Formats: sequence, structure tokens, C-alpha cells
Amino acid sequence: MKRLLQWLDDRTGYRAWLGRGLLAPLPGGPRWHYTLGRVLVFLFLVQILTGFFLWMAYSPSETTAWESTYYLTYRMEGGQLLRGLHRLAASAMIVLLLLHLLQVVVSGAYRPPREITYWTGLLMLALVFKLGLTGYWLPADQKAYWSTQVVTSVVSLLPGIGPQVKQLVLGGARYNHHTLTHLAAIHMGLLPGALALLLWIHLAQRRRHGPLLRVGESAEPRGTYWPDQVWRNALVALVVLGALIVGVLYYFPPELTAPAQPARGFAAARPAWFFLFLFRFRQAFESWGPRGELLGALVIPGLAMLWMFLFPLLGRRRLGHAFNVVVLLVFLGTAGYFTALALYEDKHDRQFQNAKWLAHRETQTALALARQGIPPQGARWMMNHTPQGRAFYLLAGSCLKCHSYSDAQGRGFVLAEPSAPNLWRFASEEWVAGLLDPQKIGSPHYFGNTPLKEGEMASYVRDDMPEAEDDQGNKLFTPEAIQAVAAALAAEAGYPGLDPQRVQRGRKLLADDSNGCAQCHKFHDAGDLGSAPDLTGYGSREWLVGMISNPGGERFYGHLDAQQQVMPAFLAGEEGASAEAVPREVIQALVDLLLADRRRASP
Amino acid sequence: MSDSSPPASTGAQGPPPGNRRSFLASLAAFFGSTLALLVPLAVGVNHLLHPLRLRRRRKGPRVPFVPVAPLDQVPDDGRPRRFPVVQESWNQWTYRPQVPVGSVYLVRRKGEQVPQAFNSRCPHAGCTVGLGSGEGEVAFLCPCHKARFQLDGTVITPSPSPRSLDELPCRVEEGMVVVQFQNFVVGVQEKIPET
Repeated sequence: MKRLLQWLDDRTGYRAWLGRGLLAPLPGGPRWHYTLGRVLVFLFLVQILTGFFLWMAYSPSETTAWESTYYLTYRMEGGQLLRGLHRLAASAMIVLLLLHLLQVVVSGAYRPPREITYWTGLLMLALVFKLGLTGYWLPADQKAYWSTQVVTSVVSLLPGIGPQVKQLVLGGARYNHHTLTHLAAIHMGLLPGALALLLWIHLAQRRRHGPLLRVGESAEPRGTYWPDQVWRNALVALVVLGALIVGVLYYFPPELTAPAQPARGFAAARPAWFFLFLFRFRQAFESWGPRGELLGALVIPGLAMLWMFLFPLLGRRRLGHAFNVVVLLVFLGTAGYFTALALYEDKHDRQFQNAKWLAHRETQTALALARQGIPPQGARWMMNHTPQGRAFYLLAGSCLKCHSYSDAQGRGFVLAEPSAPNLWRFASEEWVAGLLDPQKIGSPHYFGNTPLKEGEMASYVRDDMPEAEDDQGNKLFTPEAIQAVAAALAAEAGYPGLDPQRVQRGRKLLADDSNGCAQCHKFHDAGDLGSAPDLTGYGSREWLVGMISNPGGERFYGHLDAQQQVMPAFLAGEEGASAEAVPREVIQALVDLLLADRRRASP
Repeated sequence: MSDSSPPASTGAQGPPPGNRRSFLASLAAFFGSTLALLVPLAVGVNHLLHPLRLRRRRKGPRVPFVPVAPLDQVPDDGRPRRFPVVQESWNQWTYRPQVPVGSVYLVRRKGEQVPQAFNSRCPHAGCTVGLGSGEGEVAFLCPCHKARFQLDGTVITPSPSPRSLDELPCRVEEGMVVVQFQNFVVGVQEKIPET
């Protein structure tokens, strides 16, 4: 062994190399705050390792990027951990890089003769942001696609070369297969390669100039880099790694939204969190037109970056240094402010929350379909051609234009001005009880914004029902009786866990054609069609399919005139069918979606 | 950490004698750095091993009989005829309900109802066996390395193929020839099913 090492040393001189670096005495001794930079190097290695294995399973093309990401995340064991770790480590790198920048500027370690260390560091910061950006785009999901669109559109605003740069990045006029092969090569080859080169210069410079000691600190060597500093680095690296793994497993699982839908749009589009400041900052300039967009998204951030490059020139003087520190704090503060502003505004923006809810449901639909196998045409085709996929888009694009779909706590999809009843837990006990409540039937939750607000049912509930009596002169619709009717209808709809006695009592009232519901409604053998919707099987799968297919049919609202009957038919081929009308199996899938939701606690 | 995790040799050189604290620090530095890098590596390798685990899980279910051709399309004079085998296929995330996964030769001798079925894959190196004449009569001939087989599948020696053509269980159901299609490991003498 000794002879082998001697042989190696004769040829490489590694002992001298180690002696100059690792084993050299450490001026001023080891420090905990030196570990920050080293942990960043460690995170870069984590990204190379995890990234390599993701690369082994990822396939860049328009019909395989989402699909392979789905497979490597959810179908391969340990996929969520692997991709989650890569994703969270990227975020951690951004946070720690900014802290490192702050540390370097505040301590003055950017000043001569350490300019090159500082400049390479800044360049690496820019590269890590670009790695984050391209990494966010690779899965080709909805978020990635729309982010790609926004960023490349901004780039195309660059005077002169903009459109060409955009086309080069995209590999064509529009998003296509080569967009993803380009992004993969940039993300997996170009950027990490450039980062490694800069890191090498950065570390060589760091070694050459040694640590920056505080004024009055003894430069007397205490200990050596190995092991005195290294064990500290390793300990901090392990703590960070542990935190990342716990973070992935319990708080931040990797995300994959539905496959990109260029023709459908995506109202929940947002950049990754570390670009949120730019997203919001740019908005502040939107009223200035394309010039303003360019200013907010590229020019001002670019100038800020350039200014930071000039810190070493100003930092020679003490006042200049103080000024630099203030400028950096202002930059970071501004970015922090706009990030917080964007998060705050989104949280209180009902439309955005609705979009987020829809995006979540779209994702669930896509993942459930993908589990059954993705057709060779790809996941977008799957979403646009299977009944389940089309049912989701029918819900999002048609039903939820008029109906809300939210529980009492406001969770789910809430329209500010719904023009049709809330569909959440339609025909359940509490839904029917609300409809039969004189206070509630005229609210937006039910008929409030529909022509039926002044219809026969509403006036019956408000005026006649409280007065209705049976043949003996007893009040017919006591609170218990209304609950019973609600239970009986919920039983028709197929809701489980109802009180059988209550249901029995409700059925009698429903079928009562002298004083009860069957005066107007048909209910099994009692009553007739033609003056009110059929309550037989009310809210059941078959009833709902019929209702959505053609609400103006005899069984449903055919008795209303054209001004009152506003919901169009959704079955293709029906008379007066909506422009969004679909085949029967799509309506069935939509109803199945609604029925499956009845098992959920909230939308 | 390119300069903080040195080759193991540094650890092996050991600390200056008599410095116990430094020895512990070396241990901590070495094992700490190693562990920090091994964990992400293990996360990745674990992910990469997916196909091996998949293979172990798939053992068990019986090979299904798949319809290959109507019986009346199989000549009844002993001449072999090749038919594609169409099955559902999974390709990682992609699912195709009907896709050709291989082909079989059906050989039906005079007066026999049920043909004999052979996987068309050569047991030598996996090329698709064709038809050729050997010793004056029709025989199976592999285009890659000239392995030849008699019409009952028996390998004609000397041959690069270590075994005869792989025969597959075959039945006739309602006028359709159904075959238990399966590939076998190539290049070995025993007939071992591929997983």
C-alpha cells in the first residue's frame, strides 16, 4: 500500500497538493460560519447525484416529458423521494446562496483582493436561478408550460434579437419536441458544467486568499482544514440533508400538475417561488405596455445584478462598503417584499383560489387516468379524448361557469355571482333541507340568482308550505317532516347512512298527492309529470345523466318557458344543445365524478 | 465539498500520534462526509433498481393463451406458416391494448387437427428464424448465424443453436388457434422462460 501511494505521489504529486490545501494549517482556526459555503458545494453534489438518476428515467419530448416524469415520480419506488429531494435541494440552494451572499457582503469578503471569488459567486447565483427555471420547465406540466410561455414571451420583447433568441430556445416558432430536448441539454449539461467551472475558480481563489479574518482576530494557525473544519462542514451538511429528507417526506412532496394544455389555458399559472418576486415586480410595470414589461422583467433586475457586480469597486472605502451593504439589503428586501405581496394577493384572490382548486382536480384526473396506462398519443391526448378527461373539462368549462361547488366553509369552487344552485352534495339531506327552508331558497346557494327565484317552487316554500295542513288540520311540514322529506330524497339520490324511519316518513309526504309534494311532482307511482321535475330517483346517477343531457326534457324542467329554463342540454344531438355538448359517456363520467365526490368531506 | 472529502488515504494515514481529539475529529470528518454523499446516492440507486424489483413481483401469473390465427389459415400439408402474436403491452407509462409482441410458426401435418407452434425467435441469439432448404427439403433457417432446424423444430447439428426451436403449448378453440406465447432465454441449452 505504501509503495502504491509512493508510486502515485511520484506521478501526481498529490501529497504536496493535499499539504497545500487540506492539511495546511488554518489561519485563525476552524469556524462554524465557514460551513455555509461548503454546504452549498455539498448541495450542488446532491443535485448532480439525484439529477443523474432523474436523467436516467426522464424522456424529453412533447409526448413523453410529462409521461416519464409521472412514471419516475409515482410508479418507480422511491420516485417521490428522489424527485422531491432534487426539487427541495434546489430551493435550499437558493435560500442558502442568498444567505451566503449576505454573509460575504456584510463581512466585506467581496473586497479586493477577493473580487474574483465574489464575481464567480454572483455568476453562480445567476446560474442556479437559471437551473431552477429550466428544471421547473422539464416536467411539461401545466405550470411548466405556461411558465415557459411567459418567460420566452418576455425574452422575445428584447429589442432586435428577442424573437430569434426565443425561437432558438424553443427550437421553433412554438413549443415543440425540441423545446424539451433543448431544455434538457441546457439543464443537465450546459448549466451544471458552467457552474462546476465557476465553482472550481471560486474554490481555487478561496484557497489562494484564505479566510477573511475580522479586525483584531489572530491569524495564528490553529488546527488544519482536515479534519478540524471538515467535520464541522460534514455535520452541517448532514443536518441540512436530514431536514431536506424530512421536508420531502412530510411537507413538500414533489408536484406534478396535469399535462400541458396549450389550447385550454391554466388560470393557476405561477412561477416557482424563487421567481415570484419577478412575477409580481413585472406586474407593477404592466400598465406601461411591452416596454414596461421588459423594464420590470429584464432591465431593472439586470441593472441590479450589474450593480452588485460593481460592489468591489465601491467597497475599498469604508463608506462605500456601508453603502454596498445598504444596497444589498434594499435589493433583498425588495425581492422579499414582492414575494410576500404575490403570496398575499393570491391567498386573498378568490378567482386564483378557484383556479388552484381546478388545477388540483385536473391533476387528480390526469394522475388517475395515467395509472390505467397512457396511450401512445400521450397524456394530453388522454385528457382530451377519454370520457373522464373530457368530463373534467366540461365541469371546469361549462358547469362551473354558473354553478358554485363549495361547502359551508367556502372550500372548493366559489363563484362570486353564481347564476345556478351550488352543486356540492346536491340532493343530500342538508342540501334538500336548505332548499325547503323559506329563508334559504331565495339565496344564491339555491335559486337566488336564477329565474326560479320567483318560480312556483320558491313561492310554495315561502308562502304555502308553512301553512299546509293534512286532512285532520295538523301542520304538515313541521321541521321534522322537512327533515324526513330531505332524508327520503337523499335516499333516492343514493346517499348512505340515512335513518330508515325518517326516510319512510319522508316518502309518504313525497307521495302525498292531496297535500304533499306529489301535487306537482311525480314520485314513483304518485303524481304526474308536466308541472315539476320528477322526484323518482332524484339526484341518482340515472337522474343526473338525464338532467345534464337535457334539462328541458319532460322529466325535468320541460314545463318552464324559455326565459325560465336557462340551462342548456349537454348531450350532443339534443335540440338546443350547448356548443360544449358532449357524447353520453362523457356525461356519465361527469356524473361519476360528482358521485365520487359525495364520499369526500370537502370539495 | 470537492476539497473537504479527501481520498480515504488521508484517513488511513491517521492523526499525529498521541492526539486523541484530532483522531476523533478525523473519524467524524471522514464518516460524516461519506454519509452525507452516500445518502443521496442511495436514494438514486434505490430508484434505479426499480426494474429488478418489478421482475421479482411479476413471477407467478400463468402465461395466457392468445388467439393467433383461424385454423383454416394454417396449411394442412405440413408447410410452416408464420403468424404475428398480438397482445396488450406496457412500455413503462405507455399502454397499448393491441400490439405485435413476437411471432410463431404454426405447423400442421396431414390429417392432424391441432398444429404444432414454435416461437420464431432463434434460441441461439434471438434473431427471427426464416424458412430455407436444407438437405434438399424445407427447413427453418436462421439468417443470422445459419442455425437450421427440422420442421418439427429439432436442431440440425452441428449448429450454433444450443437447443431446438422453443415449442409453445397450442390448442384449437372454436376454430381459432390459441398459443401460450412466451420468450425463452437465448444462448443456453435449457429452455428457461424469460421474465
